[in-house]
Amino acid sequence: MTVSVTPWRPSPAHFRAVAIGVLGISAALLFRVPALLVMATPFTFVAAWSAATRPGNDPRLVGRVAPASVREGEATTWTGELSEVTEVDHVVAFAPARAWLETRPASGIVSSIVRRGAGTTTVCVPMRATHWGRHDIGPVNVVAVSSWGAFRWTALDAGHRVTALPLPEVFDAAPSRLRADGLVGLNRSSHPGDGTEFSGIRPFQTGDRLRRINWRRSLRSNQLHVTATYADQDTHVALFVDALADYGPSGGVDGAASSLDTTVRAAGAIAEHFLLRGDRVSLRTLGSRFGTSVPPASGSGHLRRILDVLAAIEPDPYRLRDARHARSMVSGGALVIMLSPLIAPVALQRAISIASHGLNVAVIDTLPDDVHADDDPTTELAWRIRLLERRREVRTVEQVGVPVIPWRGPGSLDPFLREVARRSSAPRMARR
Amino acid sequence: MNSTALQRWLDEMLETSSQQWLLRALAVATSVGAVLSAAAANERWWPAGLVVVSGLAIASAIRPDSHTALAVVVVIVWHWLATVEGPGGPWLLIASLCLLVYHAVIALSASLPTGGELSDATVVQWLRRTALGGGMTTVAWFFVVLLDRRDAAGNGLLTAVALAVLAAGAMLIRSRSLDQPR
Repeated sequence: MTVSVTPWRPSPAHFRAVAIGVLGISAALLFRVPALLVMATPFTFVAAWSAATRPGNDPRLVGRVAPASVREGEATTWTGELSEVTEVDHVVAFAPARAWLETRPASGIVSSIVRRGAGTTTVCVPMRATHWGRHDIGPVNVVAVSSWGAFRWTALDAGHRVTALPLPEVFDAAPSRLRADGLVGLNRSSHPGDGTEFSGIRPFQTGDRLRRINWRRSLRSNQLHVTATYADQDTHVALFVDALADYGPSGGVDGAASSLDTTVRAAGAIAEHFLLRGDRVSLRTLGSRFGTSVPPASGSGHLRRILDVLAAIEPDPYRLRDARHARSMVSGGALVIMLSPLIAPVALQRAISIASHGLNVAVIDTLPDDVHADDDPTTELAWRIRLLERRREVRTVEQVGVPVIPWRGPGSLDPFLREVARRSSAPRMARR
Repeated sequence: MNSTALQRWLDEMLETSSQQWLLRALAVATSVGAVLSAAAANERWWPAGLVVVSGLAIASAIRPDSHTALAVVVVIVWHWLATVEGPGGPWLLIASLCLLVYHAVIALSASLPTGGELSDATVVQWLRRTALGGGMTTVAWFFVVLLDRRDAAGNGLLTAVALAVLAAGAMLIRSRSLDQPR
């Protein structure tokens, strides 16, 4: 969106050429100074050329950013398309530096020549998003320059934004049999139904599919038998993201990861893993300035929705109360994964609360290892005290059956998923 | 200059692209070249003038989008007229070409921020134009030298016609520069 336009204005260079050219030639003629005539000639030449090729109309600028959504580390481009540039010499675009956006060239200044007779021209500023989140671009200054730099037209293009989706970390989990309660999916249900996993052979009932008839058994017993299977169903994986605060330095996609970087990227990785398996995934953010939740659903479109919400996270420590009292909205049988640096105790409290309803809950610890290192000894001491308290809180949570797992990428959740699979087949008591 | 302004100035220096450094160095070199041409033409050095012109040229190179460059050209022209007798031979042509290049370089340098670099096509286009301007200047110099050798007498009518043409041209340039044609 072009927000400000300054029409064609003469530059100091044009004033210089006109002043020296006209005054020099006049003085040379009046006072008969041939040397002055020669010295003023180039300036007269430049002034006459500049005036003759003065652009008549103001160019029209249309700026756009494409693609408007990228993954961390990927590039997007601001493109300014100028029309009615018949007498324009060249166009310069300047995109000021923005956090987490690397322009190429690094100065953010790009120039483009306008071919003679061309009615339109484009100027492009490539930029790379080095951190997840929503980043404002610009305002981009665009300057059109006429011949000899004599006249300039300027415009300001603003209002563009690029969404950098978190680049999910590499994550994988060993195949596990989770408790399944959905309609379709890859996990074996404990109930018989239409699936692929063999359950047994039973007599034919009305409604059984003909392709399920086990002919060998039927011939031996003189009665129709069918091969029974377990139903293939999906799992609801509920992700809770603690966005109350961000700890540790963040160096973007190429540097160190802060607690929120790890949280967001891990949540994206887990969501991608389970969604690709056909499971349903929901997301709830605790403490984000733009608190949003994503209801459970499956599919690649849902992954994009989750990544969009993760990219919009902005930590807000003043939403502690909201985080404490927000409704969980988790159905029975769901697998709950809480991602938190565990500095504010609210995440652990929520995990205990959810686990008390009989749900499988795991807490993923996303605090960086060296977060306590600080130049100030008082701050470092405070961190050490808080980390000792945190260790006690984690022990308390583990005693009630909620595992706290440090995020280590692939296989982080394997022990927890194996335990869940083991427990899913055993009876247990839950408080409702 | 307070510390903030100094820091800003230092940042600007550090951000300046190599192409901009080259353009600015060329601007200073051509202005000094014009002064040296005058010195060669009259065989007398003018150290104070050299210092003044160099200082002004450096200032104009740092802030190309200002009227400092006009002062540089005025000082050089005034120095030439004050010290050199007659047309000055080939040194006049060299001084004029230096002034043309100085003007073009400062104008080009002012057309983009300090950290930017112009495309090669733009630079080549400006080189061609400057070469054309140099050709025009050479023709004017040749014409002046020819008239000087023939020792042609002045003609009041021709001078009046030339002044009228010049006035008309100046009015036209003024109207094209200040009006907003639609």
